[in-house]
Amino acid sequence: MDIISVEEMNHIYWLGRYTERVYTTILYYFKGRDRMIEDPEFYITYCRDFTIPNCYTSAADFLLKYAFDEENPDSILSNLNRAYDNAIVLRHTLGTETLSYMELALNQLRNAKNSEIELLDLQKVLDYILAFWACTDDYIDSEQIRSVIKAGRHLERLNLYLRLRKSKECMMKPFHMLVARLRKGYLDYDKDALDRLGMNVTSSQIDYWDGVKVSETIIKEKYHCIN
Amino acid sequence: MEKLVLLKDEINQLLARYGVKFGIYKNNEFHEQLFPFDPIPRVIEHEEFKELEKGLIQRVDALNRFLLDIYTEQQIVKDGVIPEEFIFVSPGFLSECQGIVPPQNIFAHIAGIDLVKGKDGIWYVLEDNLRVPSGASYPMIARNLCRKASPNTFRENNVEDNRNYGSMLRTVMDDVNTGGINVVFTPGRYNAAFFEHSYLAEKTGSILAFPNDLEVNGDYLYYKTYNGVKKKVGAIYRRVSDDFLDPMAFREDSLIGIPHLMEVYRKGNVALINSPGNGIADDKGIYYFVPEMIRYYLGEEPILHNAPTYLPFFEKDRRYVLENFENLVIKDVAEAGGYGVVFGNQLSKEEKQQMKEKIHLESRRFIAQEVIDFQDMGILDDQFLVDRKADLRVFVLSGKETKVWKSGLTRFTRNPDSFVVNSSQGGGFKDTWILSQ
Repeated sequence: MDIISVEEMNHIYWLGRYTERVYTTILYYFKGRDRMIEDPEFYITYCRDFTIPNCYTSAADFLLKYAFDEENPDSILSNLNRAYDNAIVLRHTLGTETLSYMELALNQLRNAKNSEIELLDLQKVLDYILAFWACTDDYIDSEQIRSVIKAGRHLERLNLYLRLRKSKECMMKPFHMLVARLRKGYLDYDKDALDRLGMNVTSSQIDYWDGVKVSETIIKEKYHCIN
Repeated sequence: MEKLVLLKDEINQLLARYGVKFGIYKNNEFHEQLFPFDPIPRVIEHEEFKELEKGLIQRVDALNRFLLDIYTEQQIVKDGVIPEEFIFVSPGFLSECQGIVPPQNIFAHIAGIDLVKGKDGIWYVLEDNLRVPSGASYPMIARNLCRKASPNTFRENNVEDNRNYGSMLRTVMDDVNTGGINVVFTPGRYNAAFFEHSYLAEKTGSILAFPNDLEVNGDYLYYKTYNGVKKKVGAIYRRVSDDFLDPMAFREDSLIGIPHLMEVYRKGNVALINSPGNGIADDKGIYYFVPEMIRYYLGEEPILHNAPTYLPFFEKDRRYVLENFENLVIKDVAEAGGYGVVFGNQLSKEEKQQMKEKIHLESRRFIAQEVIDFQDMGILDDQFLVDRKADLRVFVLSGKETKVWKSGLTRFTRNPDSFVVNSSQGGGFKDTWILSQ
């Protein structure tokens, strides 16, 4: 076992969650923006799908605030800031080279705010996040740390897919990957909750809202959200 | 070197990519800023550095001897070399450290000595920083990026590699370690030098510890791991100032300290890098006595020069300071970071009078120095080469041996009318090349 404090483990876990949240959100945002070309009011459905408050006054307001508003806790930038906040205290664990991709992603997103090609800029943010994940695999020797980042990622993806009411087929991959990571034993988790979630997502009638709630109870409370 | 100059923007972009920042507080809000880098290095010839190196080792060895003496026998005071008024009333003197002898007798493991080079070609020591001197990480990472940007520059110039600072620091930690893991102890992410804390933890292979990660149990200090196992700590490179280090010994309102740490330290069960109480040796008033200290402890003539300094505490010096006020720089010994420094010729008539009265009333609080006409350095301001004031912070590391890192942090002012080079006041930095032959 590596020498890792509770707080550091929290940061590692939430780093996985927030990077995944930014990644999946941007992918879905691309689809949403595409729909909004023909149907500008689609943003209302988008917010409902993500189960986030529709605090936007119009489609134009959504376009302005959803990606880049630091004051909006649901914005892509806010979520990337939280990923960054968790990463920046882990330089000794992740390595400066790995961390540089988080810096690049954040700088890219901030600079894209007034860009006329913001979706192309957001594509680069995705690229940097993918490079960041690749670096965590390549540069971090500790299997424990890699596993916890991945457990956070898979859980977050599953949680988002449940909110987005994805099909059973979509759910299977992140669920099995989460189980594989948790079984390595590096994180304390609630086995009963995991079983319940497994039965739910593999059933023909997924109870999505129950799935969202249960997914938030799988990881033990000591890994509380510190942002 | 021309290639490096052309690549200034690219190198600065790389520094941004790697998060080379420092934090400042403005209106109680934390802001992170990039540290502007100028690609024209300060170059120090091989022979010149060898002489500097000798002088720096001599100076830091004497300062370490002084600290050992002051916290044990106080022989230098008994022998009348330094008046007691400069010891016991100094805020840097910590009675809590009385009688503590740290591992290897080393108090100042990392000394940041600030130097300037006069137009007469002589290096002058401006300050000794023996508490928590920062800045080594900046030239270390900048060098790495410059080598990446322009490999040929380094093929064509014989420059000592400075990327060994992490291993030098690790050696010091291992030398004084009392048995246990090495940690770099940071007050947290919102500290001005957090980049450096985390970077040095990475480069020394140490654990980066935050305030809640460490606790005293019995006679030892432990790092608490998430699975309940406690790891004994043998050496802490602490980046928390003395005041906040242990609320049971110093400021009781400190939320970032480790309760009872000083008890563990007193028992010799952990090494603190640097030792608490070092502020007595880098007090601006004590600076005046360092050449005497070298003669007293080492029986040698000082190799490095102090800037000509006057202590208003002594009547003769006070008279000189008041008569020559306009030609001197006055420093408040309680201040740091470029604050509390005034140039006599820049004050209004009223301000001068006020300052003179203060010097009369609180003579121990101030020192006065001749304004050294130090060499300007070329920096790139947009596309133009302009001259600016710059100093050099050299790092001297003491473990089983005292060694000088073959590089240093060259800081410059971006303001043409200023002598203050501190990053917190808008300055930038350069790499420092020591030629290997």
